[in-house]
Amino acid sequence: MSNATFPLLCAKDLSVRYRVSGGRGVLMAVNDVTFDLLRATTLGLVGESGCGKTTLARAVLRLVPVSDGQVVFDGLDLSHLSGSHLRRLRRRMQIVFQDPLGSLSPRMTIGDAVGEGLRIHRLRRGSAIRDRVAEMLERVGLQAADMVRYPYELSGGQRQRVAIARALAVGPELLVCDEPVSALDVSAQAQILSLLVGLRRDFGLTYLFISHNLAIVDSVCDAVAVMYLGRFVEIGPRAAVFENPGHPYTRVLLESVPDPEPRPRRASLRTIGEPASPSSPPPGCPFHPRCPFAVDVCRHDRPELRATSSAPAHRVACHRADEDLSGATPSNASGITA
Amino acid sequence: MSPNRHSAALAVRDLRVEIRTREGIVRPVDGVSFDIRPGRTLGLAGESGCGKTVSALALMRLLPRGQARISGGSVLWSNGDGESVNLATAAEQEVRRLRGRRLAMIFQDPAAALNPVFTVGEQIAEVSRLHLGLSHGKAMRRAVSLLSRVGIADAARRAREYPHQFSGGMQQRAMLAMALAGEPGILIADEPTTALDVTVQAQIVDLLRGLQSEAGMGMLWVTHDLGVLAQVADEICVMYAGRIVERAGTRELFANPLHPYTQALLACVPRLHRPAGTGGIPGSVPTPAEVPPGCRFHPRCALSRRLAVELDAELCVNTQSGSVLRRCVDEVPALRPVGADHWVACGEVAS
Repeated sequence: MSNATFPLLCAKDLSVRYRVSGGRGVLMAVNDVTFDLLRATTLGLVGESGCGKTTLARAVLRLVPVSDGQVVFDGLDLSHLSGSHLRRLRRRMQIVFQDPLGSLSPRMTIGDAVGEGLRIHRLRRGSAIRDRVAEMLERVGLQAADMVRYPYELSGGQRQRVAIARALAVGPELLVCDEPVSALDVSAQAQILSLLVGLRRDFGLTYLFISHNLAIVDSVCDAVAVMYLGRFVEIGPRAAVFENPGHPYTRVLLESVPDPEPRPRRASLRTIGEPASPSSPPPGCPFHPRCPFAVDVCRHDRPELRATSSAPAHRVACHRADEDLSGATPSNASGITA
Repeated sequence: MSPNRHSAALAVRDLRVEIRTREGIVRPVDGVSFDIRPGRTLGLAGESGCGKTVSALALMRLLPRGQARISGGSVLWSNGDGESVNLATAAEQEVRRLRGRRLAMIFQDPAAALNPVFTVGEQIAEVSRLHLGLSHGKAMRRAVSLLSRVGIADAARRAREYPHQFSGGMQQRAMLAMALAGEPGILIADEPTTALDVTVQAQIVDLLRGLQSEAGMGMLWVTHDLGVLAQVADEICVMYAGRIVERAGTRELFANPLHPYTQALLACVPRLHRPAGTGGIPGSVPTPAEVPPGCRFHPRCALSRRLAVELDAELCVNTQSGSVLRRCVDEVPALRPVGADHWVACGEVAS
């Protein structure tokens, strides 16, 4: 492994545009995103459906073309790599999708699915493939004997274990987890999260971990980025973002996590409605139509990501980030202070 | 609004469901009892495969015909004015008169529950025409007002759109509007927020609570997530492998969870400011074809295993999943009261 302080993955001013059919112009799925992901750390990427988090994940893996900016993996700019160069890198960066039933072929046995990458990248041959598959299955909590089974014979949690084993079989350094537990029930969620934490420790893996639920990100990440309509609106160390959220959207996400303590209903921060369409984002701050704290400037000027006064690594794109907004909402009794 | 809407109730007693499979007959719901009371929300919690959805479908008499059937027990619907119907045995025609009108259901996946070839407004209006006998025009106007009541902005225009033009959260609202169209006294909600973003989840939870207190509906809320039930339920039944293992008022259950399964399920709920610690419940829910003898949870039970280490060897038995208490394998624990408003089906906890 190379220099540990050198980021494994950098995105620099990364944008991904999609052309919208029917002449409705261009959709900016990812807009000017910059981050560094250090080795053996986890960046959590949080936001609602349609905010661009999956497109961002696909762009860093070059599963979709990069429109502008750069993706640098281990010092190598892969924004415009193609063919065999890209294929060689793919072994080092793998992905686990939300729905294992959709990402595993129903006609392949578990063993074939987990061994496929080994064959494609010619990492093992003959019986060594079988040995590696058995090893990976056991490492993720399945049994070597499960090799001959098909995905439909497994539970949702077991299928996700297979998807993880398949991703890890080729020995990647970066693992992108795109909502890996969202389709599972809480007990399987907890199992898969603790498996992922253990694998990261044992293999020194680096994760880009996507979820719409901050409570899930909280348990696995070192840093958190909050995305809204294609842009980062807040990024920083986990503790800073969770204990001192700077963006109103982050506070809404935090307060939306179901509180598993029955207590008298408190007034809490909610957004109204849903995000605007990314093909026609509102002027000014993209969040202002739903923001409980929006003032005039928010409607005209888009705020840039700026370091907060408390921590330079904690950056927030909000005009009012340095104000104390805890008492600013009429019904806000959240107890979170800005 | 119908006069008796505020006092409709559903009493479920010893409900059993059989499914015919290639391997023989299995019982995914095996003797379940609970009450849905007017204006109150009952939570039904458990992992996938524990029988919660099958129970909910059985109440609505929506089990797939020819494959599954109610094999025992009763589902007594009453309107508070002396009219009552046992839905477990009532004729199909009678059930159809009540379903959609007196009892309605919303599902996890609204996209699958809405018809893609009709506008959202037409689908909601259909319910009012069928059950309330409204004319087409009146029913459409009512559909628009229902859509705005569930929080859809610009409802008149949205009513003319098709389901695919709605986001997931809006589809869930539309399905709710459809369920409310018959002014039901009982609403059954099967994982209504599970497929949604947390922000939209929170909005739907607020919405359902508001509508319920306004309309006085009795609700059954089915979910794997006790975190959601903490917000919505007055009382909770925890279900495992076809049976209820614990039942208590919501506050009591969270303050004092007694069944080892309830404790394990609670520990799984993702929370802020707490590291992922529990690692989940080892193993998985047995399929109805392979339910273990005695307490169905014993192969996964931390309490039984811990006591087996502490107690004399003659009280224990070795199983595939390690040493557990003999009584957990030999005796089927009944749901017994352990306090006011609190029942548990665990031999150890009760003794």
